[in-house]
Amino acid sequence: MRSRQRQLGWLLAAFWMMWGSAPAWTAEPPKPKDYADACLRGKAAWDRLQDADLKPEQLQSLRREALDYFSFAMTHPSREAKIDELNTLRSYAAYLYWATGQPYDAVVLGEFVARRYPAHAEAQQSALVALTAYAELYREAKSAGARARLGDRMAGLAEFLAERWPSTPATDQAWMLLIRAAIDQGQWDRLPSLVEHIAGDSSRRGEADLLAGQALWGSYLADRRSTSEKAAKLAVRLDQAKKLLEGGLGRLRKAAESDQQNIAYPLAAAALSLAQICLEQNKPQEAVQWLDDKTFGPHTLVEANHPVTRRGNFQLETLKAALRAYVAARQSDRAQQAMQSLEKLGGVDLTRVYIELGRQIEEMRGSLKQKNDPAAAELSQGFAAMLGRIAERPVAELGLNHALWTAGALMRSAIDADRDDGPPGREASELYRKAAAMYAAILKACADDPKLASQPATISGVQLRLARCLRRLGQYAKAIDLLVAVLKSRDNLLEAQQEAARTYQAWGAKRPDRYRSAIRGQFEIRRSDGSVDYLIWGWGGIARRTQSDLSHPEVFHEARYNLASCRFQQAMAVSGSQRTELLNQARRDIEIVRRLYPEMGGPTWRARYDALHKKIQKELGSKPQGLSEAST
Amino acid sequence: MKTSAIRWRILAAATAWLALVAAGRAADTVKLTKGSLQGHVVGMSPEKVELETSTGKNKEIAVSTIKTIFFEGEPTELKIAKTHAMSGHYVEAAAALARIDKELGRAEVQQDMEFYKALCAGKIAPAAGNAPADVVAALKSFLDAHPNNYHYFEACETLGDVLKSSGRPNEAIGYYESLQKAPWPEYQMRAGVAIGRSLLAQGKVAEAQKAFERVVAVEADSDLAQAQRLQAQLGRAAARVAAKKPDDAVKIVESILKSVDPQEAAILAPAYNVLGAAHREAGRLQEALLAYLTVDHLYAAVPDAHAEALANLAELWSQMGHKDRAELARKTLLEKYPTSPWSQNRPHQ
Repeated sequence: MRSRQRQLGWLLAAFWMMWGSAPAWTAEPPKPKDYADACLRGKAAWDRLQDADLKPEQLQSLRREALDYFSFAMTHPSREAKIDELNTLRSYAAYLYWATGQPYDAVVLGEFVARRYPAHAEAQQSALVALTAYAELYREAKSAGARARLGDRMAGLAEFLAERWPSTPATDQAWMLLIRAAIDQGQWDRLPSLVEHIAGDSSRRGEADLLAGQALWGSYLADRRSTSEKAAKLAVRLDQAKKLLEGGLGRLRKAAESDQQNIAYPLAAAALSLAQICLEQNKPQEAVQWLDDKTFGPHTLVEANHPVTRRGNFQLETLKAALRAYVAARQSDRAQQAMQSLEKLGGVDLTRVYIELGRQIEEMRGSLKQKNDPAAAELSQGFAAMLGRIAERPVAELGLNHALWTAGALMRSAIDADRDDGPPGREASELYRKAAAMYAAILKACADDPKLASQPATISGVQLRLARCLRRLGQYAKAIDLLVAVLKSRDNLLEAQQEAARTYQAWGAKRPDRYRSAIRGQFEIRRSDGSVDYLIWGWGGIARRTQSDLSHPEVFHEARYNLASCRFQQAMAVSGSQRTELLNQARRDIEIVRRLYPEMGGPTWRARYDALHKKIQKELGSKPQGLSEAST
Repeated sequence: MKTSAIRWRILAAATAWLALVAAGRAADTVKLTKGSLQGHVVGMSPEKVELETSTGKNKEIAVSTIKTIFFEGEPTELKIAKTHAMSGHYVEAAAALARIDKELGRAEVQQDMEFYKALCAGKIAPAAGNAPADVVAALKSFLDAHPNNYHYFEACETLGDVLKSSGRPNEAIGYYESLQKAPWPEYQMRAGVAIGRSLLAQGKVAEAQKAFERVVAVEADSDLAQAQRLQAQLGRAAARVAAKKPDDAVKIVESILKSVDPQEAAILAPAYNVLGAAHREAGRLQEALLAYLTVDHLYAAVPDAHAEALANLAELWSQMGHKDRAELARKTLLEKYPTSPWSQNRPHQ
C-alpha cells in the first residue's frame, strides 16, 4: 500500500515537472495553520513568482496563492509579529493586489506603508505600487471630478516620493506616471512643471520631455479649431511643446548618434512634430533643419527608407511636412523631390493631401501678408507650383469642392501677382491661364454631369470667375459671352454687372468704342411700355440703381468714378471739340458726385476722384487743382 | 563597636523576616497603570480602593489608576481571565472564566467573577453573537447589586456601549451620565464622547456637537485625556457629516490622521470610517471606498469599526459596479459580525 502511495507521489511529481504547475484539481493550496505558517507559505509562493519562465496562468495562480496567504497573515497576526514584518507583508500584498487587478486595495496598502513607515525597506516600492494603482483608477474614473481628485492624490504621493527619495529611478517613474495622468486629464498647463521635477541628467528626462511635448502639440492641434481657446494661450502652448521636444531630442541625441540603425520611433516622431511646429510658427527654414537632421530628421530617415519610418502614416506626414517646408523655404528642387516621393507613396489620397497642404500654405501666406512680410510673395511662387500640380488632376478626381478651391487659390495667387493697373505680368498671366483652364474644366464637368453642381448659383459663380480671368487675359469677347449667359438668367446680379462694365472698360483700351458700352450698357432690351433698357447696365446703370441704396456705397462710387474715368479715356481717344465736350462731361460727372455726396465716399474714393479731376483739368488746359477748384 | 555592628545585623534580619511574614499574609495585588501594590483590600467604592499595606497602614488608591485587583485565593483561571481582559482579549478571558467551577468564597472575588463575565459578554457582544438582552441584564444586575464595587464606572460604560450598539442610544445616555459623575477628568471626557455619540445616533446633531466640544474644551493633559480629546474631535467630524458639511469633517479627520501613531487602531479605525462617511456624503465614492478599505485591511481588529466599514464597502462596491466585491464584503460582515447592527441594516454610531 505504502509503495503504491510512493509510486503515485512520483507520478504526480513527474506530472508537475512536465507541466510546470499542479493541475487544476490539485492546485488548491492548503489552508494555513497560523500566522507563521501563512507567512512561510506566502513567501514560498512569492519566491516562485520570481521565476522568469512562468506561463501567464501559472503567474496568475501563484499571485493569487501568495496573496491569499499574505491576507491571512495580515488578518491573523501573532502577538509576537513585529510591525516591520507586517509592513513587508503589506508591501508584497499591495503589489499582488495591483497585479491581480485590485487597484483600490493596492492603493490602501501601498500608500499606508509608504507614508506611515517611510523608513521601511519596501516603502519606496510600496509608494510606486500605490501610484501605479492610482493611475489605473484614474484611467477608469468616470467623471472629470473624480479624475481631478485622483490626480491630486497622485500628485501628493509623487511629491512625497520626490521629497523622501529625491532623484531615484522610482521617483522619476512616479513623475512619469503623473505626467501621463496629466495628459489623460488634459491638464496641459501642468505638464512643463511636472517634467521639471525630473532631473536634467536623469535617464527618464528625455522621455518625459518628448512625452509632454508631443501631448502639448497634439492638444494644440485639437484646440486650434475651437474658438474657446485664446490664441495667445495656444501660442504659449505651442512654444512650450517646441521647447520640450527640442530639450528631449537634445538629451537623447548622443545615444541616438551612437546607434543610428536603431533610432527609436519616438525620436523620429518628435523631430517630425518639431518640423510641423516650426511650420505652424511660419519658420520654414527651421522646419527644414529638423526634417533634414542627420541623426533623426524624419525626411532624412524617409529618404533612407529607415525601418522606423514604416510605422503608421509617418512617411506620408513627413513628406507632407517636407513639401510644405520646402515650398515655404523656396527650395523648389527639394519640393519637387518631395512631391515625387509623395506621388510614389502607395495608398495615399494625393488630392486630399495636396488640397490640405495647399490650404495650409495659403493660410501661412495670408498670415505673412497680414504682417507685410516680404516672404509672402516668395511663398506664393512655391505655392503656385504646387497648385499647378493639383490643377493637373481631372475635376472628377478632385471633386467639385476641391476643384473650386484649387481654381480659387490659383486666381487669388494671380491677383496677388497682378500688382499694377496695366496688363498682368508673365507670372500673373500664367496663373490666370491656369485658373481659367480650371474653371473651364469645372464648367465642362458640370455640363457633362448636371448632378455635380446642384445649385445654379455655383455655375454662375464659376462663370463669373472665369470671366474675370479672361478679362485679365484680354479675352474680352469670351468674357462678355459668359457674363451675358449669367445675366440672362440673373440680370440683377450686381457682381456680374460690375464685371461686365469692367470688361468693357478694359476692352476700351484697345477699342475705344467699348467705353460707350462701359458707360451706357449693352444689349438693348425694349420693354412693353416702349422704354429701352440694357441687359448689361454699364457704370451709369449701376450708379443709377445703387445711388439710393446705402448698403452699396462702394459699388456706387466705383461706378461713378469709372463712369468719369471711361469718359476721360473716351475723350483721350478723340480730338478737338469732341474731346473738350467729353472732358467737360467727365468733369461734370465728378462735380455731380461732389454736390450730392460732399464726403465723396470717404478719403480713398475722394483721393481717386481728385486725381482724375486733376487729369481732366490738365487736359482742359486749366490749373490742375482737383476738387478744391470745384468747391470754390 | 563590634557588638554594635552585630546588633545592627540582627535588627536588619528581623525586619526583613517581619516584612516577609507581612507580605505572605497580605496577598491581594492591586495592578496599577504604573506598577502594583500589595496588601489586603479592606474597602472599596466606585472612586477608591482601601488597601491595608504590610506596614499596617491603610492606603487609598484612586480607581482611575487601577487596572485590576488579583485577590488572595482567587482561582488561577480568574487571574488568567483578568490578564486577558486587561490586554483586550475578551474571547480568551471569557473562555478562562467558563472553566471556573469551584466555590469562590470571598465576596470581592464573587463580584469580580460576576463583573468580568458581564464585561467580556459586553465587549464581545457586537462581534460574537451574544444576545445583547442577556448582556444588558447581566450588567444591570451587577450595577444594581454592587453599587460600591470598584468596577462600577467601567460597568456603567460597558452597559452604555452595549445599549448604544444594540440600537438603544437614548437608554445608553443615562449610564454614560453616571460615568460622567466620576471625579476624574479623563472619565468625564470619556463619558462626554460616549454621550455625544449616542446623541448623534439619535440624530441630535447640534446637541452632539456641543457634547463633543465640551470634551475638547476640558483642561487635562494626560495621555488618556489626549486620547479622549481626539475621540471628541472625531465625534465633531461625524457631527459635521450628519450636518451635511462633509468637507469640514474631512479636514478634522485628516488632522487627526496626521497626529496619531498608525498603530492606534482604536482611534484610527473610527477615524477612517468617518472619513469614508464624509466622502460618501460628498459623493466622492472612490475616496470613500479607499477610507473604508483602510479599515478592512489595517484596522479589522476593531470589531464595531470593521463591521461599519464592511457594510459601507458592500454598498459602495455595488454602487461602483463591482458586484463580486460587494458580495464578498457582505458575506464577511455576516460571517464575522452576525449580530452587529451593521449586519442587519441597522447602523448606529
